[in-house]
Amino acid sequence: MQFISLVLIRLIQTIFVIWVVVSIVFVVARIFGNPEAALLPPFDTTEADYEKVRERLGIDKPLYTQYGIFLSDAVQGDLGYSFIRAGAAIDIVADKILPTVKLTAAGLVVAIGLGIPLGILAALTRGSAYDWLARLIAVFGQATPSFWLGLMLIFFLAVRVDWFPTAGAEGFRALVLPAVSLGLLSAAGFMRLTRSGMIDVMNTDFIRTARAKGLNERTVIVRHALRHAMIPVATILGLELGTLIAGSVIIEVVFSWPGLGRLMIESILKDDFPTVQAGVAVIALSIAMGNLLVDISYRFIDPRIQAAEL
Amino acid sequence: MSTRNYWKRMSHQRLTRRTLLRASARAGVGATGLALVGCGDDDDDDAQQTVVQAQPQEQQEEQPQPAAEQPQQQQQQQQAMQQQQAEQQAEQQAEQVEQQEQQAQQGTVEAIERQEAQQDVEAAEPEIDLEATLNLATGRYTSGLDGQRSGSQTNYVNSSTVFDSAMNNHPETAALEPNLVESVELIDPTNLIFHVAQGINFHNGTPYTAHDLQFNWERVSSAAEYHQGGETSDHPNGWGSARQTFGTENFSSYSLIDDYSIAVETPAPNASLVASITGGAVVQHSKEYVETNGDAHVDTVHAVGTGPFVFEEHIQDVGFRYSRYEGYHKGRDALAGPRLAWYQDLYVELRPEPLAQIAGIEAGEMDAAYNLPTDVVAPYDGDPNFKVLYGPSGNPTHNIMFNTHDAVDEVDGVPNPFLDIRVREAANIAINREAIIEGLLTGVEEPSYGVYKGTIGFPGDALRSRRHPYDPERAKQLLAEAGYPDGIDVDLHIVTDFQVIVPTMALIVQQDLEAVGIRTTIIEYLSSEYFAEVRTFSKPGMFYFFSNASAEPESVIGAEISETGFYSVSVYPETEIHELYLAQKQAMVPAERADLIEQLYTLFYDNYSWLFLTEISAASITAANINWPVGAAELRGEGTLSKIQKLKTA
Repeated sequence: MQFISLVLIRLIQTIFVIWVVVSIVFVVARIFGNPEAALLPPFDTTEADYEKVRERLGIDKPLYTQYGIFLSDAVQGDLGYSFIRAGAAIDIVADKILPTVKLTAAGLVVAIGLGIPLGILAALTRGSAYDWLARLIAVFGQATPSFWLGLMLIFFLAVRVDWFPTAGAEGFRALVLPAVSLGLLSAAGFMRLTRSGMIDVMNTDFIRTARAKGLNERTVIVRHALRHAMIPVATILGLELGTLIAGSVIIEVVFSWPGLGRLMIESILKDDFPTVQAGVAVIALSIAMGNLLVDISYRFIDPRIQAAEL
Repeated sequence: MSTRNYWKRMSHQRLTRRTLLRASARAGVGATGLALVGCGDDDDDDAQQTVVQAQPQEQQEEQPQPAAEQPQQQQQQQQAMQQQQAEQQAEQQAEQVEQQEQQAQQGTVEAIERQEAQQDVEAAEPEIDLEATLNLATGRYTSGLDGQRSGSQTNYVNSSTVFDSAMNNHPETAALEPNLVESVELIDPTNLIFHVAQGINFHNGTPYTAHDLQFNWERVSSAAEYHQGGETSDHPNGWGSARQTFGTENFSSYSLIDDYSIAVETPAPNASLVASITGGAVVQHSKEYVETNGDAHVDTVHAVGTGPFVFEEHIQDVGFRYSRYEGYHKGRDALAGPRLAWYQDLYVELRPEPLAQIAGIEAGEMDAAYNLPTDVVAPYDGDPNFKVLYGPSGNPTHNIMFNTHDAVDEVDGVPNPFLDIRVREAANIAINREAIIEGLLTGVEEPSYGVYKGTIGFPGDALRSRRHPYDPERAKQLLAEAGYPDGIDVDLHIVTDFQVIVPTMALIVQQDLEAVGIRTTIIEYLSSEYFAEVRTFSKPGMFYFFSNASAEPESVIGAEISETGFYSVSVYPETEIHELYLAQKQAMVPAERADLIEQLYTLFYDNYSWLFLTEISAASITAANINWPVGAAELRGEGTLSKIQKLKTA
């Protein structure tokens, strides 16, 4: 019961967060944006043309009127029509969710698949050359801009040796380079956190007890140490989800990946307010839901954690 | 010459009958030698051999027979003479043979050489692959398929592949050339008849007629009579025109004469009208198709035009597929505009990142990319695996406009320095344009003369000869003469996100101006606010601005140079600039108009009306087997897509 209440409270908080975020975007976009300039060529255009466009888009009204219309439509699930593309903004955004989820999930797989094993091995071989190398990789991963890494991967692995396509989203091969570019930064974070967590846990009394009981080292590490070391990793997983979604904006541009990130870039550049608002709402929702899932996962990682503690 | 050609040539220069004849004659062998040679079997062909054999035999028969009773001395003399004659004959014979063989062999060698030269040319210039698929990378954002819709106006690719404009521009002079409209009949300065070419079909097989031309003019002006467009559109966003003023808004009346003629009356003479309403801003849709299927369908599902490519598929944010329109009305040797494509299929892939576009070419996935920043392609210039082309950017000339609207600064109450021509001249000659072109740009650009050189009426060398020099000392002197010995302080307003080079160019301009005493404060804007700010004419100082790439100059001279222009920050009522603008606008005869435009351009330049900067280039890059010819007045790459040739590779 307590758990269900927790989920409900979190959902209400999520709705509030989305409302705040979208409202900020709404106001900021209208203060600094000028969509009619994006819709019409700067030359060959008269003031009358601009006025007609403003009227058609409904941005000729006072800001508070526009906001009132927006809110009343939004509670009915209508986030407006794109200024640029043909269709409802939420539909346009929805079309782009799947490619971005695919990319983000692949990036997460790279991050976890690379970061956690490297962190464990580095912790278990602390002070060794391997530990030093793993930390070097982590520093490199955290210090490397993802767009630069993406371009380098394209240059060496797509152009020079032709293992992967240089761009696009067709097939598994096209997913590899963007996923690596996206996931490496997060992998570095996971690696460092796992390593420090494992080092802490391996020095605790219960691990010594486990060893004293005669358990083999594998069981000690996997069943006892790793489980405890994963709690901070799970915490950071929720944050990394936001990092990955934000990173996908650039990666999608570099790799011509037709996802939400690229749509957002294009919509921002063209002052397509409805699409930007819908996109921000979806991203905020996904990050909030991701964090909620992480919170829920604590109960499964460590059953001692109660809902009240979350 | 190829190695193969060289060795074949040598094989044809080996010893022949001619060589032996000359040798035998010189050796005094005479007739015997001739006979021997004549009987010999060399490598020459039988026909030549027959001719060569016949001549000595005849000549031998004609020789006088030696008389037995003649004294021995005489005989010896005669023999000597005969031998001499024989030698001479042999020599002559040899020369004749040589000439004949030379002729014959020259013919043979030349034929072989021609054949081999052709083979070499073919080897050097491989055959054009007419069945090829051309893969083109573009960074241009594409929102829909309808080039007339507001918001789709950046969709240059679809507009120039599927659709045609009613008329084209000459690739060099920018003058109007027939296309779907084959002629425009000038009845009087306000009455015109547009004659539509017959026998042109849309991709769906329906004929293009004057009904379509009229429909498209009405559609861009959102004429309410039609159920599509304007207020009644089925388009989910509403259907807004990208070029409201490029259609029937210009007419006082219009009516169809027949299926291929339409009469138009304008309220006043309008010399730029034909170019405006028959140009690329009004791509030609099928009336029947739009009315049957609706605006939404035309923008999102399928596009039907008369252009050189048939629309096949559009995957949003991924790319377009087209195929060659085999029934295109203009052959590959057409003078202007699109023509029957040199390749079968066209795939246009959206790649926002320029380096990813080039990587695609290097990896063999793409054939060409265009409209790229010049510094991005510069490392590939000279690489045998690529071809780099520089052409005018979308806004090809950059200038700075002096705000001359107010005599005094409203805030500070100081006189407007730019009303003094000496200050404007000082600013112009303070700029080292050559250094900018060589140091910042690619080196192929020219200084700006205001409008772009690809527009109608650009006077070319006549204007180039008046180039403002770089003379900072003279600039200082002019400022002092104008009453500013200590220089002036002004604002330089710039837009930072319109073209990437603007902030850098502004810094260089700032340094050059400061060197002569014009101290500027750069004020930056985003394009979303900048153009609206320029239109207010309210802020003193200088405004960084651009000309556009349209062949018809009205959009520049009307919007930026005339006193009533939308962006005319610099106005000079004391000059004849505005009168010349009005005069050319009413000059319906093209030659007269071009002459007036030339006077206008020259006066505007001589008046130091703007701070004229330089042209700006954009770059295209292709694989080595791509030929992409672009004419001087063909300002945008998309308009020349059908001209691209993809060569077969080994």
